[in-house]
Amino acid sequence: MFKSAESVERLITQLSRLPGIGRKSAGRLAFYLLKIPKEEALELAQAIQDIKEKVGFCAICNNISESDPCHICSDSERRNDVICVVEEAVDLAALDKAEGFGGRYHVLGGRISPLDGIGPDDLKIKELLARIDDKVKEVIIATNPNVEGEATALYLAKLLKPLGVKVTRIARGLPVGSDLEYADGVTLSRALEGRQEI
Amino acid sequence: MIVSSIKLTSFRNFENVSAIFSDGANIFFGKNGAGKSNLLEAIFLTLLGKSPRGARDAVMVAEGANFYRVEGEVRTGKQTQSVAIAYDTGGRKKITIDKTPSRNSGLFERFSAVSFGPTDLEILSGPPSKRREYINIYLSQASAKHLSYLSDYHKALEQRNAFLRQNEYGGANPYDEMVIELGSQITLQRKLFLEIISGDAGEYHANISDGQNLKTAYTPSVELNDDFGDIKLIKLQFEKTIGRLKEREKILQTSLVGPHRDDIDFYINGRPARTHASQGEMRTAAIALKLAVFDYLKRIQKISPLLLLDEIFAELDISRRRKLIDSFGQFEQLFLTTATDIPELASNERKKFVIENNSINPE
Ligand SMILES: Nc1ncnc2c1ncn2[C@@H]1O[C@H](COP(=O)(O)OP(=O)(O)OP(=O)(O)O)[C@@H](O)[C@H]1O
Ligand SMILES: [Mg+2]
Ligand SMILES: [Zn+2]
Repeated sequence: MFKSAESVERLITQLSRLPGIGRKSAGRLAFYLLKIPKEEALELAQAIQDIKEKVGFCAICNNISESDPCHICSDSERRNDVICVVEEAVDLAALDKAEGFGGRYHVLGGRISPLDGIGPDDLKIKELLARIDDKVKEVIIATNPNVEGEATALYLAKLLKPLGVKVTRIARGLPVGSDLEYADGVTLSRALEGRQEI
Repeated sequence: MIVSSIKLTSFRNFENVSAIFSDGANIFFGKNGAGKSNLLEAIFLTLLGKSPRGARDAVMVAEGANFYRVEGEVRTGKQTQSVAIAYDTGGRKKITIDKTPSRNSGLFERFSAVSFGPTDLEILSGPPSKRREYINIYLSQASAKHLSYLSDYHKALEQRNAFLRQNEYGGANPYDEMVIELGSQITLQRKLFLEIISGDAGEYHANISDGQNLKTAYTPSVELNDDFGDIKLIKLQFEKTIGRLKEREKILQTSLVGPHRDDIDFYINGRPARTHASQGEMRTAAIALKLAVFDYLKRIQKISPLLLLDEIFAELDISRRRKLIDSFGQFEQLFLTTATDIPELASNERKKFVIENNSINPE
């Protein structure tokens, strides 16, 4: 018990670093992992190792991917005339489940929030501007419907418009106060249909 | 809207009291410290779930008790609803309407109230923040959308200021667009609100004071012409003003333009009220501003708000007292407090309650 308690303690500390996990939940998870069969626990460890070793970012859209370019950027069936801008890769996954959008994406990697030390240069904004060429007719901005998401959308719109591209904002079909990640497919496809020019 | 009865349990200086009110004027009469203002507070709290003077819930729990409970019967048109607000010192607050749990917004959607208290003189005499607060409270009471504009604006402003602090030499502030967007909406709504208030308050004021003139002039921090009903124009001017103050903002590292720097100028008979008006003149103007808000809310919400007037007669001469009392007829129901006997108030149409020894006694 004496020596092993130290490694349990280490696991708890590691787990409690995860978002939404306090020390108490971390303790419960650690003791759960202690009880389950070894193979099962190692599967988890392997999965974590795999994402760190195999998964990287797409050089075009900044999506998380095992290949570069990602499966969306290399999909020739998709439209090239519209790019949908999201904050995080999870938002992309949620949006792409919704029907009605067969275009390309761009993952910013966050939203502008000087209070958290995140300025425009900390996001993939230059990369987005570099993607706008004659083929791109529309950019849909699907940042989250909160103050930071809206501010980021307005800022991007100001940079994009001079490039001669139509800029639209995903309509607020989303439940107020909820983040994109949790919205269901139907709401999202309705939101995409009802987008407005900004 | 009529509050036909209330019941208070361990609220402020009242252990266990109840009262039945009538339509028209209800007067609370009692010595200093008897609990008159506390009663008005309890009535306001029952309707809107918060203290009219911004007191925290814990403060309103009677000394030695561990909870308060206020209950009331509220009549709107033909419908009567029972409202109860309970708070325990553990921090739990429970609002029920007809025994169904409700959120504070449920109260805001159903009921409405305008209160006048001694601190409201600060609308005229206090710093600009008091005048903005006067607009914010009632615009938000009339429109939930305005409340969300305000809270979003303040979040955006903090972000903009954070950027100003971090980027001494930096380029365009990424929060300019958001602050301009929200700030322009607020500016426009304030302008429209004050246009209405200005006219109505002026009328009430002239009536009470025998023809004295009260002028209300919005002085937005965004440099605008007199005639600016158009949101596009406001945004344009906002952007220009920000551009002009750019260097100063960089030095001071804070936002110098927007609704957070707005003010209202009041003039009584052409003289600026803050620096020139007498005590009684300020009180008359503040009462007129509250009565104008009463009409505004009534028009927008389509129900007559409850009117709660704490010590309005102090400092007023007999003529002004009379004029005020004469105007009470137009209100469905109102509550008044007074520590001194006002002979002009004696009438069969008014119900008087004597507040003493921590109890309420109908006369
Ligand atoms: N939580 C509380 N518990 C017990 N007593 C309280 C509490 N809060 C306030 N009081 C007391 O209630 C008393 C009545 O206050 P209130 O402001 O209602 O008086 P008032 O009748 O309006 O007097 P005035 O004529 O001076 O305005 C005060 O003496 C105050 O100390
Ligand atoms: Mg009082
Ligand atoms: Zn990609």
